[in-house]
Amino acid sequence: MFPYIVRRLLIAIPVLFGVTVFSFFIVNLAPGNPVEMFISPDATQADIELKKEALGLNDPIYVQYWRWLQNLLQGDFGYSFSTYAPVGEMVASRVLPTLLLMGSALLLAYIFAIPIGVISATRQYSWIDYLTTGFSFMGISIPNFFLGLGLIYLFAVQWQILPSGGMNTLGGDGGFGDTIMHLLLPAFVLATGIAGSMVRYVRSSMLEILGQDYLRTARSKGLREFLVVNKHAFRNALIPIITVVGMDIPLLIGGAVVTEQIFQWPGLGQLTIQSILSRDYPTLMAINFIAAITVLLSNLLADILYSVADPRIKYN
Amino acid sequence: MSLANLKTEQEPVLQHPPDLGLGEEESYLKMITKRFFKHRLAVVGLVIFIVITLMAILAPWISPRDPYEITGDFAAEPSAEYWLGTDQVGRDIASRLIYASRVSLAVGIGAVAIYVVIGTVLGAIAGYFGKWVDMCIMRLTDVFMSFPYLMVILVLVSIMGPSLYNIIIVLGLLGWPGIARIVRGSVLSIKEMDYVKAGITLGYSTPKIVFQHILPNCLAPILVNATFGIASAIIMEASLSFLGMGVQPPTASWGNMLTEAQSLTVLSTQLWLWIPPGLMILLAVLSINFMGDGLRDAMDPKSLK
Repeated sequence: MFPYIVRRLLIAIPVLFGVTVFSFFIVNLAPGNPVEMFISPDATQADIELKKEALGLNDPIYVQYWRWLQNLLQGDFGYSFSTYAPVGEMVASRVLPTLLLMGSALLLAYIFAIPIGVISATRQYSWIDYLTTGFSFMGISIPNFFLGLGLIYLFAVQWQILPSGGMNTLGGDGGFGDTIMHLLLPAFVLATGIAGSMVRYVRSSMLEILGQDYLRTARSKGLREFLVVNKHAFRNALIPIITVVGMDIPLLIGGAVVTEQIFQWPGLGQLTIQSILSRDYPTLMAINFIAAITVLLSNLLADILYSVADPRIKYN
Repeated sequence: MSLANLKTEQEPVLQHPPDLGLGEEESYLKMITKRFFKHRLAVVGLVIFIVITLMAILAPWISPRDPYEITGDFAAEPSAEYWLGTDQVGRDIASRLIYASRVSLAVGIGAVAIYVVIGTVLGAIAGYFGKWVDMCIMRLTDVFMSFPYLMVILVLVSIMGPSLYNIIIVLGLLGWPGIARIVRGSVLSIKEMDYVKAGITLGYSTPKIVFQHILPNCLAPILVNATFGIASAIIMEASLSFLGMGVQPPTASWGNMLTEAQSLTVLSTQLWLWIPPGLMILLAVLSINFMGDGLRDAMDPKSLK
């Protein structure tokens, strides 16, 4: 198994390189000049040239890339074009809120989706199966922003039991309970899509396993149905689902952009929108890079976990 | 996106291998159709989808007003005159809703058509030639798959300038990795089959073998993936337009019709502004996902009898 993990890691290196090249170049293809954003309107052309020279924007693009990569390897993401603050610090302050949001969304999604998927599969074609199928398709098909707005309308405007946005009450004591109240709606919105597809996966994975011969054997030797489903079938059904968890991460990050914008959640998604509006390339590059690395690592982890969980896989 | 990976990605098994004894091509099609129509949700989805398509085609004749016409009534409530009210600029919402279906369908079908072609060609090349060609294409696929879809699209669209055509192009250029993987997997398993070896022995050209003999056998998973892809492209366009990075007003898109609802006053007092377009997106996406599910079940080789 160890050589397999090493090989998987080695494959990740060219991909990682591709990721840096891609994220650097697409953002640098952008038209418009970031210097114009923060220089006073009466600055002369000479001033602008001076500023561009100072920022290194006149160098050939591969020189800029190489410099960016070198700095990156030292943990330096450069300075924001819009706030002058170090990008690393700006991004770092946004990581925790996003992790909190995505973590709770994942937890929420799986806590509900896995048992529902199992029940749906064991009672195939019953009314409960049709109901969950209907709801899971709704969850997958509803746009995050529409669901978010609908929930804000109901919970914050009509019933006034939950805040409409932000992470803490302004001027409040900012306690943990307060954050949880702010977290509920956005986490639920993010969780619906993930839960919807998870229910489908768990259901089809369970259905496949339930039809296997060894389960018939388990039943015929008089094992209770509860044990057959939860001990023999469920554990095997979980194996293919590990891959799905890895695939959920990019979905979560993308969904977080829209959701954070609607709920004014101070995370990476909101920072992305702000950076796009202010043409803040270094920040955009850093966010995209971090997001891509996260996806790469989570897929790697999923692959490795899969190979650990399924002893039938050969490593060669 | 998420649904499309269900099963089809893990099991790119050939769908109707020539040795199945099914007889003529027609009987296979007939069987798929029969099984599709047995899937109740899929049929409901098909009906809704046909209605939306008709709405898009017949927009000039069925919409009560010109979608760009500015009436004297701003943010008017729904009434006999304005079925769904007017927006804050005074345009008729019902008409805009009808015209916006054109945008969604154009993005869905346009973007998916582009990436199905790219994905199929790259996947076929990788699967058929193998070795370093395969290695390079698959690593490229990995790179594309590492970026969170929406984030990169957001950046690219903002660079190219937000417009309908740019959205179609960006979604088309970024959406191919899923298809490429499926096609590669199918080609890998099919190219070892005797009839392909026979083709090689007979001296057929490589493109002929790949495109005429191998690819028709990967059609089913491609079709299923493309169907779910249309749904996800429609959501993507709506999200971009909602964020102001997509189709720009005055052109109506279901997504940009919801942008105004980000203000709390619109959200809480002018429900007719944002609930109808939101429901339209949900309905369109849901109907296509139902169709995709029906197609997948109908074409599942495991339930071939």
